[in-house]
Formats: sequence, C-alpha cells, structure tokens
Amino acid sequence: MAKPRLCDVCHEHPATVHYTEIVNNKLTKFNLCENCAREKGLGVASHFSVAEILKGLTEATPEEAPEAQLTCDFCGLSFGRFKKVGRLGCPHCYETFYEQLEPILSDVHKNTEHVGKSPSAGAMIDTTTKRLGELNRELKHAVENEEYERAAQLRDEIKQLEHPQGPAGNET
Amino acid sequence: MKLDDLVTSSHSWMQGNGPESDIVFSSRVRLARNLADNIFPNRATPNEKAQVLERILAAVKDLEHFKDGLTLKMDELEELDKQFLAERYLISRELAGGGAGSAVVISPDQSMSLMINEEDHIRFQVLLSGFRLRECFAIASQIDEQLETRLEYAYSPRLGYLSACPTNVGTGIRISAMLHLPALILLRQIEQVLQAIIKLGLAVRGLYGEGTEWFGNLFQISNQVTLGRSEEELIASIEKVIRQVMHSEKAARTSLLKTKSAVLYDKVGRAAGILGNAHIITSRETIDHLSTLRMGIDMSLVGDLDRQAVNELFILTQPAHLQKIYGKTLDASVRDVERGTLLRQRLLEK
Repeated sequence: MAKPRLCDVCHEHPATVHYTEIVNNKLTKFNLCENCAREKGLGVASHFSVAEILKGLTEATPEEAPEAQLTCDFCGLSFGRFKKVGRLGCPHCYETFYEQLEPILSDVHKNTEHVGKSPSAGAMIDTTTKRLGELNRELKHAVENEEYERAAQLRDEIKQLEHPQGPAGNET
Repeated sequence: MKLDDLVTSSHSWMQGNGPESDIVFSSRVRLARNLADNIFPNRATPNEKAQVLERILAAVKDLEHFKDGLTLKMDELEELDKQFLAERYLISRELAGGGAGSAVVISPDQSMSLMINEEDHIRFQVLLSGFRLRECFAIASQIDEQLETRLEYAYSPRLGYLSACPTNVGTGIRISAMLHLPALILLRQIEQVLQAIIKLGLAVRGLYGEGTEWFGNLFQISNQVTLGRSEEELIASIEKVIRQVMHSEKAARTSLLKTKSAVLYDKVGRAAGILGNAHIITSRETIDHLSTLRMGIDMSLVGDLDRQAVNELFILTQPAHLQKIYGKTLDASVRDVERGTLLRQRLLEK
C-alpha cells in the first residue's frame, strides 16, 4: 500500500482533509490532518482566506504610524490591532476608522456605499437618499456604457427627486 | 427535538430535489447581523457574550420559522456533536470552535439555522435543495424582518449592516450554491470554467482528491462583494454565472454520452460496484464514487438506484456522522470498515 501523504502543517499525521481554494485569482491547495484542519477553521463557511486578504491590504501601514494608534472610544480597539486580527471590535469602529477603512472597502467591494435592504424603520427615513444613490449609480453606469438616452432619463429623475417642486429636466 | 433526533432525520436539502438539482445540489443564503451598541463577539467579555446570547435567544424563541426548533449551546456539546453539526452545514467550524456564549438554533426541518456569537452576533442561513437562491433569500428576508422588530441592529445608512469583518459589511449577505460538475472534470474543462467564474468576481471552492481530480466534483460558488450592490443584484449576477456553468456541464455530459458512452457506463458501473461491495473504504474514495454514481443517476445511466439515498450518503458517510450512527467514537481505520458496512446496507436496501 502506498504511504499516506502527511499533513502539510504538522508533518506528523496522515492528511485526510484536502482543500483547494481560489480567491482573487490565487489557487492554494492544502493537505491537512483532521486536527490541523480544525485549527485552520476549515469548512464550507471558512473565513481564513478573508483574513489573509485583509492582511495583504493593510500591511502597508507601519506599526508606529499615527493611524495604528487611533483607538475606538466604545470598545478600545486600536487600528493597529485591527490590522493584526482583521476584525473590528464593535459597530462604532466603522465611524472611528472610517478614513482608514474606506480604501479597504473600496479594494474588497469596489464600492464604499451600501445599496440594498435596510431595517424598515430606517428605510422610511432615507428612501429618497437611497433612491438618489441608486439613480446616480445607474447614471454612472449608463454614461460609461454610452447609453445617452437612458442617462438623460436618469438625470431627469434625479433632478425631480432633488427638487420635488421644480420642473423636471427638459420637459417644458 | 433533540440533537440525536437529527442523526436519523434527513435534511430537506438532502432529498436531492428542486429545480436543476441534477447539477445544483443546494442553494444557500446567509445573512450576518449585529446588535447596535454591543461589542462584537471576538472582543466581547464572556459576560457580554452571555448577555447578547440571552437577548438574541429571547428574540428568536417566538419566531415562527424556528418554532419547535432545537437550541444548542456550544459549551454544552461534545466535540463529536459539534463536528456532526458542521458536517451537516448547520454550524460553521468557527462556531464549533467557540465555547461559552455561542449557540445555534435549528429549524425543525433543518433548512434554517441561526448562529449566535460566531464572528458576528447573528448569522442565519437558509439552505435548500436545488437551484433556489431567490427562495432562500425570500425566507431569510422574512426572518430578518421579524428579528429587526425585536432587536436593534447595528446599521448605518452609508455602510449598511455593520459586521465584525469589513468583508461582510453592507448587505451582510453570502449567496452560495453547491454545484456538481463531474463531466467538466472528465473532459478537463473545469480549470477554464473556474477561471471564468473568478474573473467575474466570485469565489469558488472545492474539495480535491488525487492529482488533478477534484474531490467529489463538488464546487461552491459564492459572492465576495457585499457592499454597494443590492441583494437582488448580487443574486441575479450569481444566478447568471451558475446558469452558464450549468449549461457547460450539460453540454459536457451530452458530449461524453455521444463520444465516450462506454467509458461513462463503465465508470458508473464500477462506482456502484465498489460502493455496494467494499468492506474498507475511506471518506475520500466514498465521495468520489458517490459523485460518479450520482452523475449516473442524473444522466439516467442507472435505473434502479434511489437518488435521495445516494444523496444522503454524501453526508452520512462523513466521520462524525458515522460515529453518531454507531453511537461511539471510532478511529479512522475502524470508520473505514463501518463506512463500508453502512454503504452496503443503504445501497442494497434501496
């Protein structure tokens, strides 16, 4: 019988978990024993690759840089610590570190503003704001794709929302 | 309902039905939510975690989706039970690793589960058989809307639902589907297809076996972006990609049947032969043959096999499931023997 392949991490136990992950064009293969696989948090909902991405995105800032010292008043997490663990400490961290997070969000999501569901109470208040955001995005998309007729329609709709009383665009 | 009741029960999604279930084994939508003004689990003290847990459990208790469901606290479970739940995709490995303060609530039909104090305060999923992402999202949305009347979510109009990891902020949604792509692998077209999926900004994961052959031929496709695109947009784009992959797999199956039908029948026949007669069989070998057998059933190459039975075996032959079925811990070599016994029994029973 062929000798079983040993775990890539501990090199002691036979590798029984074989895992391939492709994230952001990078293909990584792992052969792990049960214990090491568990320690890596391997499973369908695994997130360790996400931490890797974050690490890659944030490691450019040196430890002693002033922004590493920036600390959230609510939970006490420093930005330097966040870069190490890849997790924020509380919802308020998003306000505290907004400037630092924005480029990360932009890299990961290619976007920095939410579109989609909102808790219904909140939705009542900012429906218009949200709709405007959507329309502006659609407009950008239309212009990029040289759909000028569609762009003109969207501009009218935006104007109407911004100035509910005023005349709409090129309607006379 | 008790944890041990799950051992003998079948998930709704293990039944192998639903639209396009010859290729899309299952669809899943997961939403991540956090409570306003509460420290995220990774930074919370045991006391804070315990308080959050109680608040969320109280809110979930009277949700109709989880009525008569099962609530399990991680610090009250054996390691084997946690592994068992993870094999069923009812909890993540991360939750299994969490101790006091972490819990899961499972709906009676196991299609819904809600994890408390995993990476986020709340993560709940809807997992259905077949290609049903919209249905998953519709149900997840209902749960979400009921929860938000009972709990105040951490939400910002600019950034959406705030999550512990910035990679989930915004919609907090993870949309994924498990695809079975044996023909693309046999025709060596899989790399091309996977590269195309990645180029479209989606993540693909798979388990893999010997050499270049993928383990079980199963792939999970999911979104990576959660901010700046609505749930509907994300679902529509992932659906589009899945349809294209499905189309390629179907074309590959047709082509195989035309050009290599003897090879195909031989592969399926051998898989059935081994699974039905082996006395010592590893988990990896089992999954590979189950995949081939499942393809045979889906392409009507074998007539007298029960699709659901084959489907269930993907899960039942996993290490923790075997040990739960036999009611004791077994080391890997004993498991290989018991796995053989279970397979022979199940496949002969039909």
